[in-house]
Amino acid sequence: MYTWPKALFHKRSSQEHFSGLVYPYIRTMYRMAYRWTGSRVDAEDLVQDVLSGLLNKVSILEKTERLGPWLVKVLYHRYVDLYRRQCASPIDESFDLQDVESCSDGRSEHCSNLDLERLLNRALLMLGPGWRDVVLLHDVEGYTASEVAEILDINVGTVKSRLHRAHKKLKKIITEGTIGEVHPC
Amino acid sequence: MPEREFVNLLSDDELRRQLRALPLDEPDNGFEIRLLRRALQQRGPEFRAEISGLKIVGDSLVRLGLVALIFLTMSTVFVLLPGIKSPVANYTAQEPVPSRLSEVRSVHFVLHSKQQMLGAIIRIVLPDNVSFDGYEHRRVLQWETDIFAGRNRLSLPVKISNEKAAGEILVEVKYRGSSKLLRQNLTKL
Repeated sequence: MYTWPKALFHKRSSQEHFSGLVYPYIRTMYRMAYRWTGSRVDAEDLVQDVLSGLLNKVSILEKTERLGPWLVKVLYHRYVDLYRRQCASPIDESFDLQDVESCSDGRSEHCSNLDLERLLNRALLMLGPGWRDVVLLHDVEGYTASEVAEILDINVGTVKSRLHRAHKKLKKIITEGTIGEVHPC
Repeated sequence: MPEREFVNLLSDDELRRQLRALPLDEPDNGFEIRLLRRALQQRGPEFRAEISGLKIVGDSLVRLGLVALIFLTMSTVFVLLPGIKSPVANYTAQEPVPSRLSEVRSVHFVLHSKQQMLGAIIRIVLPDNVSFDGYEHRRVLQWETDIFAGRNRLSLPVKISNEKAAGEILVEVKYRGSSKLLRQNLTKL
């Protein structure tokens, strides 16, 4: 009898409970999604998709000891399903540019940092996906080797081995000059 | 890119430090709430309820006092610095033309992109009184390059014959059938 108010109350409190559980990790999830997708829009869509899929799994979330890495693991699997396996898709993506601003001299350090970022981004792209994932999780986002192992479903030894090889390869790419000076004439 | 920075990257610690410092397009303050709302809406009408009343979320926001930078669209910063070589590869091959002007300046653009664009086409159109170093009779150069999410620097070695009225440089970026035209006035030179 009169079960609907109870059901309604339960629904709302369940949503609140869900939100309370995942809220502290949403930004962390976004950061990792951004590292993988390379796009703010795609990263938000990916996190939203994962959250939506977890709405009915509050009990699993409650039982999970280390919820942060677990959520990133779910995110990773979803990313592989939605993005990496469809990377050959010919879907056009729109892009946007904003107006030009000006800045004055004295920005050489700033520009130099930009070169370095570009260089690192390019070097990361030249790593295989397995190595790149490990570097992004461990070096860029600061997960421990055991957390990376948990997220990627590989053992800790493999994580360390991939890290070692990835560093070696990154340094090789960089020292060989992935981006050389350009002489337009 | 100064040579010393490549050398610095040879140490593991420095490599990790630089990787850790790779920029991120941070979302705005209300991003968590917005995503939760969207997730509930995506799930279906039965879940479209009251995230706005979530005290835990609001309280957490206040407690954390989050401040985030947001770059909703790509923006371009125009930098004028002399004497820095360009890291941008793949200029289209052209026959060199001997330089006749004494001063060469590097004009730097910083492209802020919200997404990675591999194989984008960049086309530069110069005004009459500005020429590319080595291509004095050309006003247009076009090449293919990769634009990464975040900041990308593009450097152009140019010669300006009349700095007080240098005119306007047009930069067109084409990617997957879309294009965007940027204009930069050079009068600040």
